[in-house]
Amino acid sequence: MNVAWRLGLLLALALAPVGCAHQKGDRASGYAPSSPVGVAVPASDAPLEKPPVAAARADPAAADLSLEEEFDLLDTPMVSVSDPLAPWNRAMFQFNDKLYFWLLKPVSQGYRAVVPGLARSGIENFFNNLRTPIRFVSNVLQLKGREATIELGKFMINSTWGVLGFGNLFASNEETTIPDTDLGLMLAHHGVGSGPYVVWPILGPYTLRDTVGWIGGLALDPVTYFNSTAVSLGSRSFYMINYYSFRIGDYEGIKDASIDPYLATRDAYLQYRAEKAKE
Amino acid sequence: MLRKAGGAVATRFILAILIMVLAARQASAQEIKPIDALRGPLDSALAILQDPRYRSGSEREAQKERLWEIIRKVFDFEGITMLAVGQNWKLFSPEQKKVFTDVFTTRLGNSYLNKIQGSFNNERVEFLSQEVLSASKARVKTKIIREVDSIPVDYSVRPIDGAWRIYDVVIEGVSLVANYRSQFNDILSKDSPDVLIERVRSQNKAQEKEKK
Repeated sequence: MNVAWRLGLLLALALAPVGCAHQKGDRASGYAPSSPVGVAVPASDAPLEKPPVAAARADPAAADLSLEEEFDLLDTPMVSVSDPLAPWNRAMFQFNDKLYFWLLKPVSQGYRAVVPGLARSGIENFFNNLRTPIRFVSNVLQLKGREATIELGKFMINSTWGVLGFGNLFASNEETTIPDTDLGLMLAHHGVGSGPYVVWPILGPYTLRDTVGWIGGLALDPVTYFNSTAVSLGSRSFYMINYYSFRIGDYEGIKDASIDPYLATRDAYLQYRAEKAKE
Repeated sequence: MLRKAGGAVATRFILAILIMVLAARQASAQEIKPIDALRGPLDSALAILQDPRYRSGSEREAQKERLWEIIRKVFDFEGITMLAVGQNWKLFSPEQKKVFTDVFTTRLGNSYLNKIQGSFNNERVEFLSQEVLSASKARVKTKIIREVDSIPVDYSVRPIDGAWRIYDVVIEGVSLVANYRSQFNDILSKDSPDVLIERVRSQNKAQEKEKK
């Protein structure tokens, strides 16, 4: 559901040994009971001392010509961007930004304060387990037999021995750690281009292809079939709050580091999905 | 005549020494493995973050200083700036290059330090492997272990003056340099370098104010 944001959230951590969100599944249960999360303790002030500037670099003029050729550095080719909906997207980005700061973040913080980490990681495991059909079908449609088998096996074991999926018995099992997939990636696998970039309210960044994948995923997501729409929506919101209770500070980090948060998020999302599609 | 010959010998001698010095520098970069070049600084940064001495708010500034000392040595901020701007770098005058490197480094340093100081939650860094791609390029793969997830972080490094230094960070497939370049390309397609410099500078100021 919120692949969206999470992805977006990446960036800031850029230089950081404190990265971002969103490996689901396997790693989800390794919760180490520890301190309250990075509820942004106001970091201290004072500008950094000015770094010594470029003087040392051999010949800045020479660098002009062959910036990349010089050391052939940028390993990641730039992702191409199609953003015909930019005005709408920017407005939705703003909306989501406010939604996060005014609602999602305070609620997640409060929730985090009262619900023990063990319960929250169990809940994350539960929802991840519930979404197995999406990953399973996506793997099958990509003819990834091994991955599909692993998804199915984990689902059966976690749903039973893991008590309805609250426990993840594969959390620290390297052999069964496989990349998450979804229908958007399945489409990419079959050569469907990503199409224009779209920011949806609440859901966050998507491309057209990934939106189609997301809608398809709804049909495979048991949460959709909960006995009423209200219960489904409630569950999704609950999952979202639980999810963010582990990731408060990620979005702030990105925003803080970026010069234009909209552009930064867009590129981070597109790079992330392009990379996932290669897996 | 003699003098001239003597001059030539001296020149050659100096050249030979220069070459030796350069070669030695080159060699020392190769002797230390990239993964070890990062392990040391990252470990000491984590130690500083965990050090109870810096728990109290009043010590944060001191902690920040010490972290910055480490970070500036490992990251090649000039290289990062140049690469992040990319082809548009030629639009910058030497003065603008200097100023922009300056403000952008401040931004990177501040947002990084605020992030790790503000929300350090006993994350662990696991060093996975290194790939030496060529004499001038290597990649160090790490993983940050968090509460419920882990994030792959790869550092691209190259030797500068005998030490491996970071010129890009790739987090879950997202390159920091490419991400900034996409922002700068967009901004510079409409505005001049001066506008970009001013924008980064004023954001820096606002951030510093906000933290106070």
